[in-house]
Amino acid sequence: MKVSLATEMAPPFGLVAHFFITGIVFLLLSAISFIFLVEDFSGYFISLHFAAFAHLYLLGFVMMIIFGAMYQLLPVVLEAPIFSKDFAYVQFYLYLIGLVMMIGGFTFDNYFLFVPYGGVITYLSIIIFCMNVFLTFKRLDTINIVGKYLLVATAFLALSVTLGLIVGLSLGHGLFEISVNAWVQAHMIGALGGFVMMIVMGVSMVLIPMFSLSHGFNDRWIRIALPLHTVGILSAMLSFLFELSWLYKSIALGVTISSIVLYIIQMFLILKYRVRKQNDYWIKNSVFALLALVLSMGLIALSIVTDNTSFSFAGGFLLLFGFILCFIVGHIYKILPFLVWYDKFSPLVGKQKVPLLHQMVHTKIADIQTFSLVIAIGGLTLAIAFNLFGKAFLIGSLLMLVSICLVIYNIGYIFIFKIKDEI
Amino acid sequence: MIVTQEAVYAGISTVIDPEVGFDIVSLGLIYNVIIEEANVHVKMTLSTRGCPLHELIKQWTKEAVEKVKGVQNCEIEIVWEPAWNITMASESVKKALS
Repeated sequence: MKVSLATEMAPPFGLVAHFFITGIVFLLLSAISFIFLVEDFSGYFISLHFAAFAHLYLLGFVMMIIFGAMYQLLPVVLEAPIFSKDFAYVQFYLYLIGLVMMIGGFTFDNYFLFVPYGGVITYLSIIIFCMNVFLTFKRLDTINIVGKYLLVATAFLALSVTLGLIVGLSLGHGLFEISVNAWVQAHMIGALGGFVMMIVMGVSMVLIPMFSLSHGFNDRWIRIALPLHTVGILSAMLSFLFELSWLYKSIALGVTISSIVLYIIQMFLILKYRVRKQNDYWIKNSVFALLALVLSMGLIALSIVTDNTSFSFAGGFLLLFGFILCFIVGHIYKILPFLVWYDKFSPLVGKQKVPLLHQMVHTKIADIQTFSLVIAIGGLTLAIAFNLFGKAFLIGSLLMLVSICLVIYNIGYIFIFKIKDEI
Repeated sequence: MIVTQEAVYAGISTVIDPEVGFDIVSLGLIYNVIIEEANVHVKMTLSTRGCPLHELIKQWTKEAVEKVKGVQNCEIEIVWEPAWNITMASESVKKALS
């Protein structure tokens, strides 16, 4: 029998697995969709194909994994159970239905009206998630720095999906007369910079020290970054929404970039103090993710100064794939074995030999996957920055697809791992 | 039957942290063991606050101690002060990690 608190606090394995498995399927679909993006990168900023890809990758993969991870990590970080596990299941199915409708609407001309309907369903599902998180926080007496990041991130999510809903309704039914480009940009800044980035910044303060066994570091950098990032993102959203001058937008983005620089300093400080020195697949992915973040901030800053759209695309790509994808993949190699182990092997502890978590990952495949992803992302960043939308882009996107297939292979390996295979 | 510190520590050392692969005694997570006849009180910590294995390691430790001959009941107290650091681990753990 598992101890009562453990089962009360932790969500059921099936719940988190729902989000993780579906997220990985969307990752594969988005990698396939990416191969055909060449025309969109060299042409209009927002096309329907680009919108389909963006929703496949960001909502299908990134957000899906974050939702699953939040349900797993929130009770651990806050030392309190999630307000409602039933809400979480309802959220998953609503989110999946809404997302499929939206992507279908973006992909097939005849089904474009699915976008607003799918958008409303997705919106409702995300609001359920936000309410579940807010109600979980309501039970707490004190909130630590990680909790503050997760709370502000969730508020940004509620705000940015509301903007997204208004855009969806305006596109589908012309309900509001808005500047769609400006609202989409504010929506993206809120969702990516406000929600995704702040979640990553917050959970990094738990995951990076935990897996690297780092102690005794000063956490002032991440503390200073919190108000700075909040103000930066909020100002950036407002400056894009109200189409303020270049100066306002630049200042807002500059403040946001400064807070991310503080986060990077904090991460390298933690890694400096790590006592676990092995260079495994987790540390390789994490360090590459952080280096990609450094470069992406540099490219975005350069694009603001030089007004070069290609650099901003390259910086955005590096942020979303170099940083976010590598960060998530590295942590999937750590979190997924734990979840499977917890479900499958923890009841056997003390009765028979059980595997260690790292034995459940195919190390060689993980290393090949990491290496191929680094090469693919490096090549694609150069291709986007210097408008090389020919074979270089195609080879890079195919290599990225191969790398993602290797991630999927390892996920299958973790799920079907049997004790007799390795011990 | 007299319960000894050695027997209790030997029991606890069967508990392995599946993430790092070392037993929790070698990791230096056990701060104190108090034995009062058949009752044992273990004061311990974890390498990270917010560790998902928190409750499981606590449970395994309790079960491992209660398997020691003569022990009827074991209470586990998780403390965060002093915070764990690598200097508390055994030399073999330090060497393996680096």
